[in-house]
Amino acid sequence: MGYQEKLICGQFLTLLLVCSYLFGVLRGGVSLWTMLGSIILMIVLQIVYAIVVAMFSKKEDRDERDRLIEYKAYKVSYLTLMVLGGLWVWGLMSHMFTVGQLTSPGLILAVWFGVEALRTGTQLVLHRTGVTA
Amino acid sequence: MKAKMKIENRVRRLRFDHGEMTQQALAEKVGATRQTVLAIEAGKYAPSLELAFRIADAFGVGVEAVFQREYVGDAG
Repeated sequence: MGYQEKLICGQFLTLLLVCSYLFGVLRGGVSLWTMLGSIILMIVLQIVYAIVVAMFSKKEDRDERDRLIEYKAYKVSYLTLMVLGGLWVWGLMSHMFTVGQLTSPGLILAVWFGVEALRTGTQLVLHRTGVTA
Repeated sequence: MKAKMKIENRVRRLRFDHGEMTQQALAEKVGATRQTVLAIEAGKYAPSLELAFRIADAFGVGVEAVFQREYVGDAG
């Protein structure tokens, strides 16, 4: 596993860790402060992980393949976010959900983490399966 | 209908011919990661024109000596 792949793996795992705590232990009942705290915790964990990886692995700069994989993964997560945004508007316009339900910190965090997990997961898959321009 | 192009390469063979040059050594020479060299050799990644030229230069050959194209399906 290459240096960049290890970093992405770390991002994915810390995301899953924080997600499982928020939605497993707290059952999604999150306040604004829990939301901010979990994002900060995730960033701190990712920084610590990156330092550990840098200490024990040979550092490699990103090359064209890494950038292409990143671009493709961002495209997948962006399109997913657009679809979810469309569903959000549709849910609001059709009065299926209330504004309160659709702006709850738990839902926003779930969407954020879900899209991030999709991005990092796609990157990991593309690193393994190969990528074409 | 446009024929599908399959790109094959002789990177592994050329590394062998250049004193068993390691993937890491080639990667450092061309400014890529070892994973990219590995992916190119395995046919999982077709490099950009710039990287293809860099690889050819690393072996001191023309780009067509490293990468070959093959058309699959109907041509023309």
